[in-house]
Amino acid sequence: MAADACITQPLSIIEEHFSSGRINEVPQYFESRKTSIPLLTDGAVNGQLVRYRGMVQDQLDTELYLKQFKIINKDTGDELVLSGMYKDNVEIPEGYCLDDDDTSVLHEEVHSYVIIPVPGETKWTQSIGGCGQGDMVPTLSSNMKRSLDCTGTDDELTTQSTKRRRSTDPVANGNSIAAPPILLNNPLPGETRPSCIIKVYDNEEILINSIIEFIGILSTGNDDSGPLLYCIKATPLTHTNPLLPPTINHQNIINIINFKECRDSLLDILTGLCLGDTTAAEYLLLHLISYVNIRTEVLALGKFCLNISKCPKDFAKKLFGIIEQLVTKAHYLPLDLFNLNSLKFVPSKDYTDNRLHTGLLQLSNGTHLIIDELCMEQGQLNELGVANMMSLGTLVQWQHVNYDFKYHTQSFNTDIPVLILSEGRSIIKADYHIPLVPPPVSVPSVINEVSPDAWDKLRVYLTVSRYINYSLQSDIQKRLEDDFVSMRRSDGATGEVFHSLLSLARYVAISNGNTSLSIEEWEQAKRLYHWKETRLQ
Amino acid sequence: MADRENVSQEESSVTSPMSVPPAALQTSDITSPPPVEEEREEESSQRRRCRTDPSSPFSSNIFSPPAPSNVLPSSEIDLSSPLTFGTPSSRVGGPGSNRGATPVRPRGDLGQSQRLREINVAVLDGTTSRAGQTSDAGGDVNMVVWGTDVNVSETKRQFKLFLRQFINDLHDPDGVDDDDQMQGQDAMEPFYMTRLEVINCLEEPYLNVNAAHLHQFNPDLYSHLIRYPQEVIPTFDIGANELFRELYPDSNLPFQIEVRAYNAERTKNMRSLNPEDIDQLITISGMVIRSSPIVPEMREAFFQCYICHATQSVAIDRGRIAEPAVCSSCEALHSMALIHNRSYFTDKQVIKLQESPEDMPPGQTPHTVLLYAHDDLVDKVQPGDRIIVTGVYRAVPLRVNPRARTVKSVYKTYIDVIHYKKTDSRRLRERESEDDDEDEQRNLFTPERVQQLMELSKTPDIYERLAHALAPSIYENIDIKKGILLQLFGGARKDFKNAGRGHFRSEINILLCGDPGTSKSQLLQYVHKLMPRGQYTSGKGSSAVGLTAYVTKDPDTKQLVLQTGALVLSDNGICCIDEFDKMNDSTRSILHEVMEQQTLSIAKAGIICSLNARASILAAANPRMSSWDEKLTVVENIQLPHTLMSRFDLIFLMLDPQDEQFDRRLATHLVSLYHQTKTEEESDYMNMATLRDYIGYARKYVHPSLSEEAGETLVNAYINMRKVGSSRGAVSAYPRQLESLIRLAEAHAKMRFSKTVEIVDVEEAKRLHKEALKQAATDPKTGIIDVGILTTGVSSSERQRRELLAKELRKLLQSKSRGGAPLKQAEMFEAMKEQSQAVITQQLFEAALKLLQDEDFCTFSSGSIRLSK
Repeated sequence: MAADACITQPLSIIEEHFSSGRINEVPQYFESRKTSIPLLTDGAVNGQLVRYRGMVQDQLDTELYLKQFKIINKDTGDELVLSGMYKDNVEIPEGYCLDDDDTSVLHEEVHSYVIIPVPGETKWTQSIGGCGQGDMVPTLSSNMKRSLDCTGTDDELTTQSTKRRRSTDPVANGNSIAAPPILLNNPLPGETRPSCIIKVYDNEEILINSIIEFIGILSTGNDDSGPLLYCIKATPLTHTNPLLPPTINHQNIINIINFKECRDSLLDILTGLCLGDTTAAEYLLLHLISYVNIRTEVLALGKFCLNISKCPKDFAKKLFGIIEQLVTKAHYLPLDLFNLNSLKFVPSKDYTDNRLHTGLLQLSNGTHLIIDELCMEQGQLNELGVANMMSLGTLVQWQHVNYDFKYHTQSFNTDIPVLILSEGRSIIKADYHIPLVPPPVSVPSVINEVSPDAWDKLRVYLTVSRYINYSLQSDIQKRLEDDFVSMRRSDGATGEVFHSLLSLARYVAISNGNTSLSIEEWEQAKRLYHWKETRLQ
Repeated sequence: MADRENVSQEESSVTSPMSVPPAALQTSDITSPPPVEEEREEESSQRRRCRTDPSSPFSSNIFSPPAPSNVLPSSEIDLSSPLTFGTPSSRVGGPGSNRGATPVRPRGDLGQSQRLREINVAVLDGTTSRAGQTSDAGGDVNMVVWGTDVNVSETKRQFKLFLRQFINDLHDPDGVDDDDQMQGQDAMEPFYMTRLEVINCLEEPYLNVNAAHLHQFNPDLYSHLIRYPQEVIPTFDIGANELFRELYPDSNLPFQIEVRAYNAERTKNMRSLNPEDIDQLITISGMVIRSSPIVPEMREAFFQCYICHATQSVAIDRGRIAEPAVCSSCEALHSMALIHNRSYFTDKQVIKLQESPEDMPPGQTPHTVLLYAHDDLVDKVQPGDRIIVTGVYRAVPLRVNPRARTVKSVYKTYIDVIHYKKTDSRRLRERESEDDDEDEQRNLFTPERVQQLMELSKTPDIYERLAHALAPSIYENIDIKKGILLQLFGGARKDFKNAGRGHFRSEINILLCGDPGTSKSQLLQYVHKLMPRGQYTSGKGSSAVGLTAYVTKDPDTKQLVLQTGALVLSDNGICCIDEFDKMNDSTRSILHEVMEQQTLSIAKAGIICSLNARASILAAANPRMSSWDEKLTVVENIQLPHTLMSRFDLIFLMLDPQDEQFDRRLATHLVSLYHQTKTEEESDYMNMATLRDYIGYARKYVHPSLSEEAGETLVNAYINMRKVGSSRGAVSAYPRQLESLIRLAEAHAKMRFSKTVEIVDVEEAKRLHKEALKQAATDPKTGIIDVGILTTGVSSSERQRRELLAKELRKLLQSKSRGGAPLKQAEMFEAMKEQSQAVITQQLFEAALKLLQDEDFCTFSSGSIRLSK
């Protein structure tokens, strides 16, 4: 069957294309068969076609390769044109030799990247994601129900691997394609999935820390560098939610889910978590849908770093447990002395092995970082600890991380929503600080009542809210300006306060699924801000 | 001379160097007694033999296998001679070939391995004899570079013409391109003839040739150089040597002149290197990140038959030595053994170059490229150096095994270095052309760009436009932006060393203070992003070492190395220090030196040195109390030592103005940021790249000097400033203020791309300076601008008040004193308060007491006052 050959013998298909002059059609050819291409797992063999999704961790040196060259049969004078694409070595048939006097020889560049599994990818994402993104959601309007119990429509191979993945503990399910230590360059601990090196042939721009899905030919031949993929097609992904198709259309987001309903049920869950404190829960909700939407020269607008103080003990872990169920990428970082003084937060270049050694803050956009200050104890920070604290501060304030290139630093923009849970006010200056004030009467938790179906809706809700095209109508603009002027009159509000309010209003509107701000939402944002301020006094 | 016989033979090769096969050159006089000891020393450095001349006999077919030629006639080497067993470098196998007694050494950079693609069109049919294919010596040789119409002898002729005739009339007095420009060189003399003279005097046979000169002289020759450096540079070598010997027949060079071309049409950065550049002459800039130890590279292997002792040399070919399987003399199989210490080695070093941080697009890691440095270029650069490299871009296939039936499709690429130029080698030297760091950017200014910038500079409102373009997302504060703008341009560097003063600082330092949340940090971040060599650091976390320099052990070499901190790194740039007030005292004390002397002294772990730290400092400070207290002076508000404060040229207060107009505009501005139409705002202003180029260009090329009138205006301004205070009995201006004014005026002139500082510049400097003073040095009690606040920390009105109080206190103490018994300080304070009408604070009281103590009237300690007797 063609599908089988396509997976087991991709090179021969490519050669066919090459000899008939259709080398450029190779990516499309394989992409159209994407659903049947298995993921890179332990079963994969050398030379087969695989799919791999991961984050670009490092960029290796660019090399030149022979895209096209001629060989000559010494005896008969026959000429043959070969391609060095998608392979390291080209076998020359018996009796032929390289034509040195070859003007048709074509050199091109091949770019190599180190790809690691998406850092902080949550368990549910991994387990569903194993089926292949988007494949099981044929249409947007159809229910997500099918996705959790996953699809029988897929290729047999894929389904099997998925089932195995889901049935066993991910740690035990460790991959047998063992990566050498050099490749174990994951910013977050506990990663067991394989990393690999990818060679990309077209000149598409691939940025560090972006999430990309690759279709490529696996090579396990060289032991020292781990699995290697000759990339046929690279598709940058803007999100990793397996419940949604890879590309989301701005127009019909509103139709996918009922925003109001999702917002209410999410707020219920968060209120329960926040021990009944609806204001804190509201802030938390807005934080969860926040992202950096525009950058001016220095400012990252839209960032919503939240600091919840007066948290009870164990609050952080409990909260993380829930957030982990909701978002696609999250990491829990206990900010204790040991972590601060021993973990490397900032990636640094090692010129000895010519690699970028990762740091904890090398995360892809939209990875929720939950910082637990509750476990902080007395002690002294060492040099590394101070540097780590400073890089956290930079991250929160400017949303960039300065990678250490020994002779200079290079700043990489990030979009990492940071949630800080602390006893008192955090030592990191967050955008919003709200103390937790639970009401005297406790609110029962609703978490156990949430159906799996509802969970999925919330997951979709959190992802698609990023895609809402938000803007301000001119009447509301006028209103905002008036309000600001009067606020300055009455209590000398600074530009910073206004920034905070504008971000708040933005997310209040977006959380309701609105593309523009209404007066009521503006009022609500102001109320929220006001409540927060009164609590702080 | 031992090798005289050779000379005549070689002499003929001068006229037609292409005709001498290497074999002939190597018929070196081994049998003759070794040369005199001294000469041997001189020649010892492992390279004396001729490179494969351009006339390489194999050149007719580049794909021919390595020719087993080069057979030495006999081996009459005295193996007992110590020479034979010396280290390879000390081996003196023979005097080597000479041209006019100057030994030739092979060029490592172009190497023999890359055989020359030249073909003698005159003997095109002569695919015949390999070793013997020498067109008749002295005859008309008509060699062309293989596959082209580049005529070798014509190239040589043209190059000689270039050397003889080229006059660098475009010489730029700012020394833009001419790192080799020597002082006192007459610009009207043929430029390279002077060079040859220098070579004759110094006996350093390197001729650096600026490719831009060549381009100007003969574009064809230039394009040949760029496209076929492999063949053209050796031809240049020959031309240069012939000319040199003609001029200085008696000169005694250690080896033949090597032409080093530089400043080729720049491949802007490493990223744009592509397969088309292979085997071309390219120039790229970057930063050295690693350099290997020296690798001895075998250029020629020396084999000897262990049966008949016949010897044979085999040159390296494409990185390989073909070991002779059969002895050519006795025909024994596999009898040839390699003799290491008679083989010929050169120095080689592998260097890794990383693209400059400025060239890096966002979201990508830096590219690197390998450089191979040969011979003299070895160890010329250290990791951390920023260099501009000219060399030949190479690609070699990585062969799995030459005999296997597979071809590795991936190529290894590197650059054979022909010429290095360190862009910051002068950083540690005094008195050099300014802003050498911008050198690497110079070619980024295309003529069109320069034109554009020039036009921009002529617009009447350029000052306002630039100021508005600076951090447009930060609202208003236009005077502060103007101040920062002038800081970015900087003053002109002057040297008064001969007058005993050293150099005046040209950098402008600015302090921003004000309430938290007034976007001071944003401004700092912006400046940091704008300037290529800016550093951003926070006073809170940075220690003294982080700012200055510290000593660490290099993990590779185990040597102590000096790691430079933010201040040194931002030499010639701007160092942004946020939370200046949070800095601890020891760190701050370092700044005293940096901010005035612009140097940094280090004495750590046995390393004692003084580094240049010509950084402008842009600092931001918050008030000590949570918010700005308008009743207090600047010094009291931010509690920085006045000694440090006075080193800032401009001190601005960033306060939130309370004004409805302003509020409204700010509101509109902020709302527009959140409204997703980002582009419209940017188009209003100049973009960041233009601004950066504008500043870069001005810093590099504009060096204004004071005009007569401007000088007078400055003097008058200064006198007026001093007059203001003298009426109140206070000094209100110090030379430092005058210096600040000069710097600001110069910066303003630079901003206009003007060669002279004119009155407009001085007026603006005065205005800005006054504006800043008004904000920072206004005595909150009297409302008068008082420089004393900044220079001494105390306003003159405050000082007067203290003196007044001291006088009264003296009376009081005298009246209360009973026979020298100690008085209670608290009681006296109360008494004083009752007695006086004015409000007396504890602080004021203590200041007055201190004055009395200084007058030796009394002493006070732990709450009691004792009158002196």
